[in-house]
Amino acid sequence: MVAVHAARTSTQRRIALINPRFATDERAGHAVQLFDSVLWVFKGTTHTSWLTGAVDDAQVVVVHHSEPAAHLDAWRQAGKLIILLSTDEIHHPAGPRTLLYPFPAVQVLSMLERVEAEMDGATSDAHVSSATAQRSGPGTDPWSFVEALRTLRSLGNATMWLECKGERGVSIWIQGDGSRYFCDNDTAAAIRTGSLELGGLTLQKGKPPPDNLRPRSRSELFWFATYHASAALAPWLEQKTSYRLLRWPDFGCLRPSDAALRTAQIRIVAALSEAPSSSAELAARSQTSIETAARTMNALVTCGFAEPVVTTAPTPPSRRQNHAPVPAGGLKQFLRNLRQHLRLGAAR
Amino acid sequence: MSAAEELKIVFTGPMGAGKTTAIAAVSDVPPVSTEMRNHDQASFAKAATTVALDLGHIGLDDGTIVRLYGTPGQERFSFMWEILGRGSMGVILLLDGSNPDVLAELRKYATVFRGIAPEQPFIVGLGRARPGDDEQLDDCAAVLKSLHFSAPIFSVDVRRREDVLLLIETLLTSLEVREQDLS
Repeated sequence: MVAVHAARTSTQRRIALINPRFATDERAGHAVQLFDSVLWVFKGTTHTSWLTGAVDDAQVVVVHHSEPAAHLDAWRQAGKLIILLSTDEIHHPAGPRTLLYPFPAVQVLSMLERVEAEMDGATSDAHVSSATAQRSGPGTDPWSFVEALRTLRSLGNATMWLECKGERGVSIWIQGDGSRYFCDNDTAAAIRTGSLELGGLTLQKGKPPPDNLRPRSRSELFWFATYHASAALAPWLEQKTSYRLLRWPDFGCLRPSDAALRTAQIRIVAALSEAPSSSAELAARSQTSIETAARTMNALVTCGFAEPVVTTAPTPPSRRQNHAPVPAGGLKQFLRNLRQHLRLGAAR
Repeated sequence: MSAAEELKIVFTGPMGAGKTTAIAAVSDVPPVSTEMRNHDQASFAKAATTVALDLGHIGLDDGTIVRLYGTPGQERFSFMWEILGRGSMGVILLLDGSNPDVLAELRKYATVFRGIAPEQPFIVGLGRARPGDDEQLDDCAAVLKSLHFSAPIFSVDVRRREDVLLLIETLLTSLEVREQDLS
């Protein structure tokens, strides 16, 4: 078990994450991103403070397995330790210095502890000046906050509390297993509308929330943080993969205030409940925009409401018979009229 | 296609879950309620309850009428459930999340109404849900999963019209999507 420590040590080490320029597998980028997210979320909570920066100054280099061997040799000769991120289990299986994507955060932390111990044995000069640190800011990655939430959930450490700090101090408290969060009503409203730049917050171990804040739903934070993160599919989703609905999100809690968007989201989930679909298929079947379908799919999968389906053939929508009487003008016209009568979202 | 003549949406659920309130929130006219003295005070402390049914309606501009039925909450009138549920456009189950037996109630009503109208949309509105508590909804979803189907389960307050509309919109949207998939 990896221990998560309070921020109490002055030990700092430099680590470089290498952009996988030579990879043909798009998951290579996801792997590096995941590693970076783990570093970010546990910043200040581990014994060593890992500062990301340029490879020349780094003591540890994190690379995808596609990196040319000549590069690895050069870095090793320069005294740097290499951590390999693999997306190819057959040729690059998990090992003492190899993480197989998708890897849980606990493996990253274990790996770093081992590397740290190795470095302590190899050099007495473990203190690195932070003056030249060039950590890439968390706000540059729209998925960093969501990745942090995913990591928390995978670790499941309910005894820990994390504080999200912005320019005005702590605004969000998250239980260590991601099961609950606390904030004031204004902050919650900003999370729901996407007006709070979550990627710009720093997340570190802290105290439990004040007593005057009420617990808020885990799904609320996961859903809205993911939905507003990006209009593109999340890095852990695939364009061509079909996803199936495991359960409906609680739209009693998670509905957007915009009526048209609410209708679109309900249509997307309803369509997914009828048959597994890729994001693009879902947009077509639900007659919604690609962006709304992608955002909703991101949120569904991140919240655990949908999962990828491994099938060799597409699954056709279920052919459910309508046993209710059909209105005289047809069901479609009837539903349109009823929507208009009740002033429901976008009448079609 | 059913031989039934009327278009209807059925609201069901145990006594005190808010069926009468929900129908009143969306009906064009005050619903006709056949409320009488509640003889089951041991189960639910409510002076009056619906012994036969609630009936509301929505009238569209083209003359189409959608009837909104609320089933009787007391178990001794459960024979009415099948009469009302058959041929409906969909069923909205309302539950009281503060009731310790809510999961058993969900199982009972879901089993009965999926038997009556297995192909029609089935929507669950959970009232008085514990705020910020995902586990309660997780437990409800697990009950439906154990019955081998999935349905929307929304935390709602049926005293708010928009919450009732959310349930109805989800029902209508489910019908729309199926219609489109079939066409």
